[in-house]
Parts: sequence; C-alpha cells; structure tokens
Amino acid sequence: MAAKAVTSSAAEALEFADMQGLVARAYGNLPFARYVLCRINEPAAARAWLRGLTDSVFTADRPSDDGPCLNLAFTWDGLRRLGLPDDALATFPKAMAEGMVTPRRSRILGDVGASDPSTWRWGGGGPDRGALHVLVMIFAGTEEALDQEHRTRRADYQAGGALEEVGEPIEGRLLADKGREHFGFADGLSQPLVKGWPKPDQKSVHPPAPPTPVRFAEVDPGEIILGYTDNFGKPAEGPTVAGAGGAAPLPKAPWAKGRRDLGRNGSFLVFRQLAQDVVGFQRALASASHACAMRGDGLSPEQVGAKMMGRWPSGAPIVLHPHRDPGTVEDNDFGYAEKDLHGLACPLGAHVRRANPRDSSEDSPEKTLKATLNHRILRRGRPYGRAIADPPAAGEEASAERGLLFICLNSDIERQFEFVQQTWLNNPFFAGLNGEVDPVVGPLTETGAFTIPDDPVRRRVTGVGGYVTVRGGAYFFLPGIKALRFLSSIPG
Amino acid sequence: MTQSVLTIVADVEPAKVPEVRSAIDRIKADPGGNPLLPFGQFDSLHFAALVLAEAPGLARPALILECNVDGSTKAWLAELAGAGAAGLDAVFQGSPGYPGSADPAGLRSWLDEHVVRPGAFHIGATGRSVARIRQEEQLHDAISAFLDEHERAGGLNGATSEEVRASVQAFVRGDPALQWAQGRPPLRQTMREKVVPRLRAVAAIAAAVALLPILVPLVLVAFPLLVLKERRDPVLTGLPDPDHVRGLEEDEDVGVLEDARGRHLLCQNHLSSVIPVKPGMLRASLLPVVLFVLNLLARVTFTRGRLGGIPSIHFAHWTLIDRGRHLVFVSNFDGSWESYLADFIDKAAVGLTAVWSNTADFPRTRYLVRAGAADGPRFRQWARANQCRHAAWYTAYPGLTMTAIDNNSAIREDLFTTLDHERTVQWLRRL
Repeated sequence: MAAKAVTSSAAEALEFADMQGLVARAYGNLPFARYVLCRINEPAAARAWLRGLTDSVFTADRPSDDGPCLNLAFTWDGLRRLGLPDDALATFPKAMAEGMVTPRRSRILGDVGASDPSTWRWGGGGPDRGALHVLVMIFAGTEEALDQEHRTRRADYQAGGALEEVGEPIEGRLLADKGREHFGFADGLSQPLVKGWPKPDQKSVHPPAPPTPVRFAEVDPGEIILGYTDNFGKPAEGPTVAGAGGAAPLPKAPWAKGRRDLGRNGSFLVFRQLAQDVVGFQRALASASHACAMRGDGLSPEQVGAKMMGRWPSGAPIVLHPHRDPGTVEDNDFGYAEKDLHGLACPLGAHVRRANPRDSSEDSPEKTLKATLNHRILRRGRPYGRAIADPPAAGEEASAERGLLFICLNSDIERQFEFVQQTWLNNPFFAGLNGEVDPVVGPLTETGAFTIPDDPVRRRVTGVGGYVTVRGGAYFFLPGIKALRFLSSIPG
Repeated sequence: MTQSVLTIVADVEPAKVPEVRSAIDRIKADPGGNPLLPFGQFDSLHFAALVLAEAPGLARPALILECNVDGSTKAWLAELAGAGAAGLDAVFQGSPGYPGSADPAGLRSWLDEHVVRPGAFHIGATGRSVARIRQEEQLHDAISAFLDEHERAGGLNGATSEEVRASVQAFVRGDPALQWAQGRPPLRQTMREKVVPRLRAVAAIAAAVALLPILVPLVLVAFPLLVLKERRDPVLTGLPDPDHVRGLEEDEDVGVLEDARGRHLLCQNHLSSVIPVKPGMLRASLLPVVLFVLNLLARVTFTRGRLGGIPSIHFAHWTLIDRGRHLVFVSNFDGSWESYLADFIDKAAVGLTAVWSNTADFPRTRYLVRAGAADGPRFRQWARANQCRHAAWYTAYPGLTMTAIDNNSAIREDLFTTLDHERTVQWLRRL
C-alpha cells in the first residue's frame, strides 16, 4: 500500500570506502574497546586534529584486521562547537538538537526512577552538560594495544588543546563466552539485513551478514545509512550544508536545492550505558519459578528466563524450541503469527517479541511485518564490566558494576530507536497486554506483572523488572569520511 | 445501540479569544470534573474535545466542540442544553449570536444550527455504550483477580479448561456486584443498525452506476487536471516550529506506566487539526466525494473495530467546515502520537492521502493516492505543523485500549454461552 520505490534500490551501490567501519561491523574480532568522551576546547585545533586524523579512521571497505581501529562520532553540541554553521545545524533532526535528555524523552525512553538522567554518570545534564562533543571509539585485540593506541591518539588530540577528555573512558569488553551478554543470553542475533550488503556466501571483505532470514529482516539501506533510499522509497534525509567544501566535495542533496549532503554514508548513533543487575535477575527467575510451581506443572528458573527473553541462553528461539535449550541457534526463520499467535511458546510480552515483533498480529501478518521493518535498528554495542560467576559467589561480586554498552545506528532516531523504546519495549499496552513493560530491560512498575500465556489459563508473575538501569547516554552523528573531511575544513 | 459523532462549530470574536482560551485551559486542567463544563457528568459521553482553531484562511477563529456519544444527536443536544447549559455559556460566550442559557429555546435552536455532522467517521467500539464498556472492564478485572487467587489456593492444579471455566462462572454467579453479567448480553448492533448502512451503500453504488454517463466524462476531464495540479501544488517546506511541537508533546502523556511524580499515564491520546482545503473547484468538489466513499467503507467494512488495518482508533472524524473551505480532523486513539502516525504511514497511507492531499501544503502526491502520506518524514512534519494546540480533551475510560475493550466484550458475551472444547480454550486465553 505505502508506495514503495519505483526503482529497485537493490541496484544502489553502497560506498563502503566512505563509511566508518562501525556501519559494517561491530568489531567482534577485537575484544577490547574504549569509548572516550571528549570536549572540544579549541575549535581550530580540533579541526586541525581532525584533518590529520581522517586517514586513520577505519573504514567499512577494509578487511577486518587485528586493529587497533578508530571511529569517531559527534554530538550536535560538538558539531556546533566545531564551527558548523547554524543553517547546517538546523537541518539535523530534533532529537539530535535536543539530545537524549528532555523530560519528554525521559518519559518515552523509560528513563525514570532509578534510571532518571539526574543519576547518570555521563550525558545526564550534570556537570558535563553541553560539554560532551566527541566520542572517540577505539577497538583492539589486546589490552596493551588498546592502551598504546589511546596514548597515541590522546597525544594528538591534546596537542594545542584541541580536545579534553570528560570523565573516565568507558571500557567495553566482550565476554569470554563470546556473543553473550551478562544475563547469560546470546545477544545481537536478529539484526536488520541491509539491501545491497554483501551476502554471507559471497566472497567479501566484510564480515558475514547475521543469519537472519531475508523475509523478516531486509530493509532498504537508507534505514541505516543516510543518503540512500529508505523503506519509503525516498533518500534518507540527513543534515545538509550550503557549500561544497574544499578538495573533496560533498555530494548534492537531491531533496534540498542547492545544498550538499553532509549525512551521506553516515548514520545517527545512539549510545546508552545500561547497568545490569545480574544477581537481581537470577533471584527473580528463582522466585518466579517458585510462584509458578503452585500450579503443579511448574517452570524452572531457566524456563522462566527463556519466557522473559523469548530465547534460550544459546540464543535458540523459544518459538521453535518451546521445551529446552538445544544449545545452538540453527534457525532464526520464523514468524510469531504463523508459529505462535497466542504466545503459548513465546509470551506476547517477551523481550525479543517486543524488540522485534516481526509479523506478530492477529490482523494481517504481512502488513504487520512490513510495518515492523520501518522501525529497525542496527545494534553495535558490547558488554562492559567483568562477567559474574555463576552461581554468584556470596556478596563478593554483587556490587561490581557490569552491563551493556548499548550502541545502535539508524537514520531516524524518532522513528526507529525511540519508537522501539516507546511503542514496543516500554508500552504497557503492547500487543493487547495491560499494564506490563519489557520484563528484561524495562523498569520495575507498580505490579511488575509479566503474563505467560498458557493452557488452561495464563500464568501471571509479579515483581518483575528493574534489572537494567541507565547510567549514561547521548545521541551522536557518525559521519562518513567525506563529511569528516568537510568538518575538518570548516573555515574558522 | 446507536452512537452519534458530531462537532459543534462556532466563530469566536477575535477580541474574546483570550477569555475563550482561558475557559479551555480551566476545562483542560480537569476535563471530567472542572466547574465550567464537567464532561464527567454526561453518562453517554465517550470522548469530547474543545479546540480553538486559528487556522490560516479562517476569517475568525473557530471553536470546535467534538462529541462522541451514545444515543441520537437530538438526545445529546437536549442533554447538553440541559445539564451542560452553564458550561456552554462559559465556552461559547465569545461566539456571535450565542443566545445563552437564559433563553433555553434559543439555545436549542442555536445548537441545532451549529451542529456539523462529519463527512466521514469511524467508531472503534461499535454499538457499546460507556456504561457497558465500564462494566465489562470491572468484570475483566474481577475475573483476573479471582484467577490469581484461585491459583494461589491450588485451584488450578491439574484443572481442565472446562473446570477452570466453570469455576470462573461460579465466581461471577456468586459475586453480588457482577449480577448484571449473568443476563443476556445486549447486541452490539440491531439488525436494523447493521442493514441500513449497507442498503445506503448499495443505493449509492446504484446511483453512481446510473450516473456513469455523466461521471465518466467528468472523471476523464478532472483526472488529468488533477495529475497536472499535483505537480505544482505547494508543499510544506522546512520543519514545523519547534516550540509548537514541544507544546503538543507536553500534552501527550503516553510512555511508561507512571511519570516522574508517580501519576498513572493514559493509554490514549487525542489529535485535532484544522486545515485549509486547497483553492479551486477541483479540490472543493473532489474532497466531499472522497469523504463520502471513505465513510461508506467505514460503515460497511470497518465495523469490526479497525480502520484500514489500524486497531487503535476509538473515534475519528473528518468534518468540512467554513462552507467546505476547511477540513477538521479529530481522533481519539491508543498509544503515542508517533505510533499513531506510524500506523497511518505503514498501514493506511492510501486512504489518508486521498483525503488530505486536497488540503494545503500536503506532501507531494501522485494520482491522488500515491506518495503523500507514504513520505513518512514529511507527512509527520506536515501533521505536526497543522495540529491544534491548547485543546481540552475528555475520555470516559482512560485506562482502556480498543484491544482491551474488544477483549472484555468478548469475555462477557461468551461468559455463559455453551462452548465446545476448542472455543472454551480460546475463551480462556482472553482472561
């Protein structure tokens, strides 16, 4: 119904050489990551630093290597501080200009109570208000290589007072059980599949696309990368500038007469530091399991966890494996409407069913699926903190902080990331439910209810939620390489 | 049962705008119980809104009172002119010719003159009264609490579907507050209410066929003209005023369950817009036709609670005012503005484009129904730019989504019927 592109966008060639590496990969081969938040002290020096640095930024066309790899992103405040003119700043979406922390955003993102921005370590409008400008991301194979690269880069950006680090760098660490997050579940399985992306079976310099089947995941490139055709058959409109800018001119912006496309090959990057209460989560599973036992045919803590997540720890979908964890993810190709309309295997409010409802609807599965694909995000985060021993050693590890550095890319923060948070994860009335939010990542509400459909009648556990607390966050612009050059050559 | 949707539209003297606005603000502070026009006093009222529109091209600001009620328009106007008379005085005081409640006969005929029926409308909870919707919520909540208790008491141990259903029935029979649920549930629509709209549709189609010799040449002339005009019509450029958008967002309370102060948030929202129809004969004659066709569809095919695949709309109407030069849209829907607009874009772009492409600055369209609302980002900006601020809005059942209302009705309607095993299992899944 919604008019699709008349021309097939599959033909649209993706300019990987002009994209930062994070667009194409999560650097899963490099276990050590450091995210350094910086303030721009001297805009002229910062531009000079950027000029010297652009060639060192790891691009999406390069084969994965042992690193270290460097990527850069900017807040709206940072771009203004760098000297981007007002007419260009005005072309950024409202979410970028306002930032992650406004009363309304806090409400729709669920940043209330323990996750209230006033408690955040960074980005919450405290002492660093307006001072978070640049996000320097370094990925490396070893801790030594990471430190070495950080020292080198720091020497560069501190020269001439260009940048100053704000707060402690944030350390990302893949867990020994690679691909899992701290609650013990495999993460990042259902990613959108970008049209034109090299397929896993093709010889390619890129890492293989995730094993999500095309029909449940394929989106047009403009959903993730600015300047390309999006799901609506239009170019994904990013920020534009008046002048072409220097030696490597930016391409024209077809939707804005006489202006150049600063967004091309870039994306909007959402960064949130999410602390995970692993002990609390495990206790909750035990207590919910205990409550379920009242019916005779109970659920084990592991089964309750799988009901809440919608996947087993291995990542195997509970829809396809309702009774036990097969230990591997063989198949991710399923629709909820076709396999499990009433949620008897995977509850309607399970985390993965909320985060990506696929075709989940009693009305028209095809229509719902098509609509779902307009609200996908490409996740690029990784865990932080040390893994908890399982079972947790008494008291010893309980206080140490651990969690997820949630990072995602999208071309429309309001339609994609914020929509997922508001309309799916935190929506108390999602899929006909009444007054419950995401059991894994949602806040603890008054009842903390979680409904597990079952025959003869549903189970309802209470006191669920509040295991994830936001500790920091901000919205960034991840520019393409030409855009980085443009930014480095703004006349001062 | 019959339900009526209508708006009462009156000009406002520009000098009186501040007073009217302050009256709206006072009502907005407590829509159900404010001292001016406490909407909560009307048992037949589902949703109401009071909107002061100052759209471009309106000679004077317009005050719009949106009403969605049980019963006939006539009965509602009588109630409004009776119990609501003092409230009407407060809000319509600035309207030229408003007679005031001191003149009851004058007030009645003034209301009759100022009622505008929508060109097209949709009702989600077809045929269910406010009282019934509230009762069925009470029933659902009571059964839910009973089941939790029953489970704790071991009542579900090894129980079959039939046994669980029987225990729910016994619980309802034994609860004095739920005696009403034992009676035969009222029909949502009588046979007459079902058949008449269909007969009207058949008549309309027959009339169209009869008029084909006139219609065909008309379309042959009008359509190329439309396609030509579509290319040149001005469209919205730039972003809507950020302060305007922020003001709208502040009124939209949907998100997590509670806000920072622990208040429970609504699950519904309201949206209103008043938009100039594009100038010229073509649009002026095309828009009523589109609304007529849409209304036929809504009466005949969308009676199961969904408008074009959107399951979240309680009441929505399009109304032409100002002698057809402005189009009013009001909607009472579930979820956030973002999710509502996404439903528009994802599921109903064709129908909405057919309507709104006839109004000013709409995103570029092709062949009346293509592009337009499907250009998601621009459509959202256009919708925000045209949305009215400072509306007072009342809902009779703030905690209920359309999905919940339908589910509660289905629970009640089959509570004491005879069900086979399969249907018993399905019924229990609704609890």
